[in-house]
Amino acid sequence: MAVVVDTGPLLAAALRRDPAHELAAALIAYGGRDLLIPDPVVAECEGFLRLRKAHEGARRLLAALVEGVWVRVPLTPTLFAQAVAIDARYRDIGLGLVDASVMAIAAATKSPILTFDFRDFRAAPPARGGAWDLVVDEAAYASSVHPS
Amino acid sequence: MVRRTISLPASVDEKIRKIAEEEGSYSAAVARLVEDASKRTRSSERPSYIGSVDDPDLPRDFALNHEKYMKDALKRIGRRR
Repeated sequence: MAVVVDTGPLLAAALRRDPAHELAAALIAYGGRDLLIPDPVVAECEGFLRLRKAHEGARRLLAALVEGVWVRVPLTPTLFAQAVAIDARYRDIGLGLVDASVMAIAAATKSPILTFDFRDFRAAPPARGGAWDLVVDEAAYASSVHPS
Repeated sequence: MVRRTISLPASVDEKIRKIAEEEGSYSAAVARLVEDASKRTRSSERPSYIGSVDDPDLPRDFALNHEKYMKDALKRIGRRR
């Protein structure tokens, strides 16, 4: 089953000291080509890593995408327009293109989403109604970060 | 010199012929199957990206609140100008 990946888990998979590293690493490492990574997510994640001067980590991310470890999803004109429409629909929460592109691809492919940004993904539900299907919910995240 | 002639079991040959109907040629079907298998093999290994960043100065909630940290960084850059 395909899963659309957001920036938070992709970053946490690289950051050894992140509280959710083990969870993210397991999901990202073994999800393989079931994981769909939108181009805006690639750019955002790479940008954050460069911001922290983690250039080697950024290069490894890009190299893995070139090798086809995960599936990179470019925004076609249709997906881009759908993402822009989602962002406009939820203008009050300032969603932005990255989250909106994750939602547009999830809607187009009927895929669940791997994100840690629970607030925005709960606040901006799909136009068809219901809620986004999240691979990790708030409870699973909390229990992985603070195991009982 | 590696020989390029291959002998395949009938069951594999049958699979390739089925895919060749979509791909347009037997060679293209073999190439696609080998590439797909190679990607599957690679994806079962742990990518070197995982755990590649060990930054002691990184806030613990960096991945969770990355958008906030990006906004803060942009504000700092803006103030310097």
